[in-house]
Amino acid sequence: MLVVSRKKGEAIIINDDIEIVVSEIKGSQVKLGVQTSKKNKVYRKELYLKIKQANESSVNFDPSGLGDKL
Amino acid sequence: MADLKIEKVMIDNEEKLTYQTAYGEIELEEDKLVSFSDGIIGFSNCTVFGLASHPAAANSPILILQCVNDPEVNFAVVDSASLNFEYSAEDKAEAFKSSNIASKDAIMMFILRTNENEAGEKTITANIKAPIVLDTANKVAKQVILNNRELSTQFEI
Repeated sequence: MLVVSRKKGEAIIINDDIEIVVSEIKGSQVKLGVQTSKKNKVYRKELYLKIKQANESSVNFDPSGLGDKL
Repeated sequence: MADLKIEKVMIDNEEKLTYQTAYGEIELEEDKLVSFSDGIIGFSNCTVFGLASHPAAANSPILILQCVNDPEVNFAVVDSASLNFEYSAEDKAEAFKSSNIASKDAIMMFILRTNENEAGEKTITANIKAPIVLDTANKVAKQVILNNRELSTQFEI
């Protein structure tokens, strides 16, 4: 993993079209600003993983035993 | 003569859009396939899907979203309009905005999964946190994640 030190107000650029700026530092929390084109979806990782996991447990839904619930 | 041959091949291909699923055999219509440019979250290679009704329960609101890229992958989905659930205006606006799909042509679908309740009975839940926005006119779709914390990935239906 690439590790870069940045101060408040400084940024990094990824692939010409993604800019991540450190907008605020408060104790153990940092606020990041992300500027990118609409095609890049930005999610909090834990939320992304939750949806990914929900999709993975939904794939190949097993209709057996559901009877009239279908 | 060559043209005739090509036509025959295409007919054969069309006939091949038949899938064996847990619901039974389903058939997809080639001209009704839907493009998911980003795939389904966690299934980024699944970019083309077809929708089929349940082969054994034609009146069921449950539809089968079958992946064409990977025949082993399918989801059970339901049109939000067939559930007793309505998004707030803000949630709806956010879904249309982040999917880039205009609301007039769009329907929203939920991915279903099964769970077991305390009595050991199977129940069905819908993922209303991450709906699929489907543009029925242009046959494009996106799964979006809504910000509203009250929305559950396992909404009991």
